[in-house]
Amino acid sequence: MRKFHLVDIEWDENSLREIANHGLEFWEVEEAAIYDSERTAREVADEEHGERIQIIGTCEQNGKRLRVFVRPVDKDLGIGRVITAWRIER
Amino acid sequence: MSDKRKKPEEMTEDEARQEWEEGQEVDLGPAPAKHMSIFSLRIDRETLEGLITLGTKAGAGPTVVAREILREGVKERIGQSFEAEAYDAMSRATRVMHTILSGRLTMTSLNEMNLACNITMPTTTWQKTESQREGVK
Repeated sequence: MRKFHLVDIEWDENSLREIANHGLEFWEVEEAAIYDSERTAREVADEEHGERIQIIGTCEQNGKRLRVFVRPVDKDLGIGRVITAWRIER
Repeated sequence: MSDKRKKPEEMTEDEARQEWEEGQEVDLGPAPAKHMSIFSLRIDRETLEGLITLGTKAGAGPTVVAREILREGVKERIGQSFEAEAYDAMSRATRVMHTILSGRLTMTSLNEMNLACNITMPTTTWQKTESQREGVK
């Protein structure tokens, strides 16, 4: 199994705008993708878009279950950039 | 699924679920303790040079200086000052309401109401209120 210890998300205007389009706040995504101890992840890669990780996790504060797409930025430091995220049913 | 995949931003939930099914499991490791967020922003060269200069003087890195300036600026605009102001206003309003509801209109409580509302009540108003109160008695 591949390992990617995600400990930080690097935000920029694009990623904040993208999650806002889905009605999400940055802290909800961080809670689900980084701090939920029950979160799970799968990785896909293709030539056009490179590698990306899908994470399914829950925001502890409000119980929202999210699907989060992350592109690894620095695997050694555990930093990723959010491509998009949205709410899913439980 | 073919190698031609959609961008996640353009995917439907069904497509994302299908990608999930086909993806390789990843071990994200233990959840870290909560801390800070990273926000990258583009700044002009002059500002960056200023941050470096300030950092050099303070014996710190430019990011430390930038963080401090940002924190103070944000607090000043929307952070603590607003919260503190709102909290004070609520406390004052509660005290005033309590005074009114308890019917204990004294000079002290009226003065506090004046302070609370940040208004100057002329003495005649106080006298009128006092006489009305006496009238009620």
